[in-house]
Amino acid sequence: MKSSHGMNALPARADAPVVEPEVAALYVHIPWCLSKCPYCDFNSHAARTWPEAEYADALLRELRHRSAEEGFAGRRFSTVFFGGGTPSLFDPRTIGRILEGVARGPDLDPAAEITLEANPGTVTEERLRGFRSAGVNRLSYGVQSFQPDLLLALGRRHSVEDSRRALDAARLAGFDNLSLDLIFAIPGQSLAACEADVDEAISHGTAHVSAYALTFEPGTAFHRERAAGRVRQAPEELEVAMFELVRGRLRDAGLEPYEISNFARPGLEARHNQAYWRGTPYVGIGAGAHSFAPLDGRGGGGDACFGRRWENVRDPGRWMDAVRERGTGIADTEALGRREAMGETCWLALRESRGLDPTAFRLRFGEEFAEAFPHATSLVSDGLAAWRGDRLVLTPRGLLLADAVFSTFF
Amino acid sequence: MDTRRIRNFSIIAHIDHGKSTLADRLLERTGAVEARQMQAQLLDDMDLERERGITIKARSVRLLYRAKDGIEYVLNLIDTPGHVDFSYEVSRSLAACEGAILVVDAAQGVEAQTLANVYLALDANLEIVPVLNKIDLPSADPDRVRRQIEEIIGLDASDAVLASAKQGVGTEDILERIVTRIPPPGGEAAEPLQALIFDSWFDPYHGAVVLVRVMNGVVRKGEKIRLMAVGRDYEVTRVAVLAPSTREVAELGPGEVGVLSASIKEIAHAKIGDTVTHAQRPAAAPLPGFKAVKPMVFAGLYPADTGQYEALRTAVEKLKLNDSSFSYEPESSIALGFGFRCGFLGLLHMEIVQERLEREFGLNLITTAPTVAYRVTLTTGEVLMIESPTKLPPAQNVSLVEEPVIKATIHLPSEYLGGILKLCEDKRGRQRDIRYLGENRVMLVYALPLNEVVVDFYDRLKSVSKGYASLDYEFEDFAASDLVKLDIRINGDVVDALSLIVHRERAYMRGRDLAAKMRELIPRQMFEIVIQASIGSKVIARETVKAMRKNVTAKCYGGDISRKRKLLEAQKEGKKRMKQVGRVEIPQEAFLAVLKVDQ
Repeated sequence: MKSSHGMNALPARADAPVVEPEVAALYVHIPWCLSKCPYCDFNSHAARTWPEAEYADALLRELRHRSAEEGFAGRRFSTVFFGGGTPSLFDPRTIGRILEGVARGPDLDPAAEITLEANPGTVTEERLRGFRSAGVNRLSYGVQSFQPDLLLALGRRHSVEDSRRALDAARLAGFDNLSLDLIFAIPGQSLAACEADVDEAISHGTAHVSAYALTFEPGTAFHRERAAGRVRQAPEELEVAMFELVRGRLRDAGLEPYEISNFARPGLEARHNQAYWRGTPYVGIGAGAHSFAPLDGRGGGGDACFGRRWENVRDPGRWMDAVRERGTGIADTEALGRREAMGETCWLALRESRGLDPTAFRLRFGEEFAEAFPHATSLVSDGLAAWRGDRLVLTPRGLLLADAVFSTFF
Repeated sequence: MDTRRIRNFSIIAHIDHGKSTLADRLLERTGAVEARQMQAQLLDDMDLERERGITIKARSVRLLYRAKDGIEYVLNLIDTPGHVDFSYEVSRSLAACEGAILVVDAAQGVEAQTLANVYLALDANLEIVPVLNKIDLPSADPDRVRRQIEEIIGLDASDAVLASAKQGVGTEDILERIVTRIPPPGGEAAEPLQALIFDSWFDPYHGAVVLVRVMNGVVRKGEKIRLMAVGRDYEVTRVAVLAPSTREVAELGPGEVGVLSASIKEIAHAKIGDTVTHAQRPAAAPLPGFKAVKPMVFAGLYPADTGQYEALRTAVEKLKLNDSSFSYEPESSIALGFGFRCGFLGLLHMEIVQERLEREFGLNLITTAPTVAYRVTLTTGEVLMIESPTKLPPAQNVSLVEEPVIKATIHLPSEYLGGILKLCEDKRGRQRDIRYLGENRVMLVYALPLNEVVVDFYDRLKSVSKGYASLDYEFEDFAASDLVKLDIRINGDVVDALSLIVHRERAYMRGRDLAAKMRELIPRQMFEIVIQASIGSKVIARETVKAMRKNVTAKCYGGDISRKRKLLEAQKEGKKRMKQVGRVEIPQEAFLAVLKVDQ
């Protein structure tokens, strides 16, 4: 059965293996921001000063420690992502020192995609040149909106002008691989305002856009405000309309939807993020960073282990102490059983427009996808998923109900 | 034993007015239990009772007290269950006493629950000793509460004992009052044996054990006894008292309270209210007041996980061993699979049984809406008892449907009369009597269809009267009624477990309310859900649950994957608590929606 809509128009790359055997992704967490946004549940801490040099030392120490471990040893980093927090608050020389360390330490692909998250209010052309010469070749701007009132509602520190200047400055500084983040379904946002944001985003001609529906995450100020009735979530119908508008407009402008919230000109997808969805190993260093290593289930121990996930200590000071003492700031380790790993493989793959490849599934788990998850036929007959070629993809309706579909893989 | 040295009494109190604490103090003071060994609130020994603060089964304890007159008295404290479902059991416990301590919270005053039992005690001609408890509270107002007792109950409370069970104040006074105010029991040792069974339970070693109060005669180990109502004979294997641990004694004579074991195999044969007599020299007549207790309310109990059916069977069998008023028989439902149709004394009894099954046996249950037993006469002349709406034969085969009617006695402060009269009329009640008992108190007697009462009568009575009305009821008779089966259809299919039998005049309203409530309770799913209420093929109400349009997490990167997986797992777990009927996931509480329809 084929999807009659052209929403998933990105050609499936049948030649791309699910896990390239020799590569890994590197995530570097920079935990500080000048202020905490009310919707943010990331591990970020508002601060005016931070121990940048010590933090960078600890990052490199943890990297050397982790990259020698099972699942990571001998791999070459093909992507690096500086996330936060606000990594653009760091001195470009510090970022340079970290990247040199990565190149010296384990291994860094000379063609690696190296992304830095930046807030428009924190950069100048000069600083951007610094990041560029430090080795960063991709910028991801937290623009969020081009409407002053919505930036205010989101508690952002930057102005619309800051965003425009920052996008121009990036080009002047030599960045041609640019991404910008948008948020929609903001309390008080109209469909017209959403349209204006998408249109302006398109007008900047970036290679990549991430557009997220606002989520009220537990523990955030917005979550509390909503519970208290002071902030009202956008009505579902409006959110659906925005979701469809954003997807349609960006696709029409040549930014293909390749994941639920991500859009790119073909060939300029965020390779780092694809690593997360495709089960590529990744090492996360820094406070609260996460790591993952897929395993083949043949390791020792009682239950066969098909993967391992790690979470670092969230508090920056305590993470640095831990690294000084033991070389790594791991707080928690989780082993994935066979069934968990199978389910995870499926729903992560379905987030991407290219969908799930049953052959890769069989190669990884030694079991046919159709036998492991026979209910997939009813997802298809219910119009939530469809076979496109030999891959299973979500239909437009399935996309909107993705979590409900995903929960059937547990 | 010299009956002049015996006092038999119970304690009447509202749910948290300190009955258990006072009982503990009496046990401590009389040395029945060392303070340090005491588990707080010793009498309520089931966990569930302790948690809900109510006594489900009666118990008794024998205390020895040397009074100020120098004589050592035997005091039998007889505990009573405290809910309208158990009013018969309460009446039998009170029949074993000569007096009662009325405990009233000196701050909160008289409350409704107390009243029903006080009236039962007054009916049983018990001497009532008022105690004002919690006088240590800053808000205590003994004078006001004294006046209240006089006005509402008509009892002289001028010399009420002032006590604080929590602090042990007044315990001695209460014990003295028991000895001096409550009359000793009567009875003749030489007469044929008459002992009143006021509680029974199942013991794995002794079989059904009966707790008795001897009225006349003497009973000893080895004697042949007869349980008069069931007409069976047994040999006494053990005679004991509860002090509070079980202690064997040689005999029980007039006025004494104790337990008899006699290898009674089934709890159903040890009926509360029955009279124990000697097989060789039986009493001329049993003691008055015996009633065969029958389940009045029926509901289907189903395992939420169909794999737990065998576990549920084992659990109901075990429960039945200890609870003769509970009944069960296998039943199956298209919607819910295999389960049991169970009978209960009333709604509280039903809740308690459900909780015990879930807690003690680790089951996850779905309970269907409670119903009553209807007497149905077919056109062929055959008469059936219908305990489940799905079993009601098609209308063309039925010549007569009769429903059980109860006689409800309601005591209330007169200010709530209007609201309660309206409630009784709404519930198809017929007034039998209305009587002013003093200035502010009214007694109402209504004939009410039980099927209206099991839905939400008690809750509404409490809310209309702010908790001040008390209800006591007994089964009266069956009466012909125009009853129809109301079905709920989900996406067109009748969900058998949701069917109800209702009065034709109420059907439309009930159907509309129920469909609306179902709409609230059924969560949105990936497709539209149509809920209809129908009588036969005629649809009388329709509601829709719109399809869920959006359920997607926007962000999912490295750190989120574990957390996200846990959220998705939680979504899946949430679904396990629901029952899939056709393609629709129905939450467990929807099967009891009929109880939650706001009026």
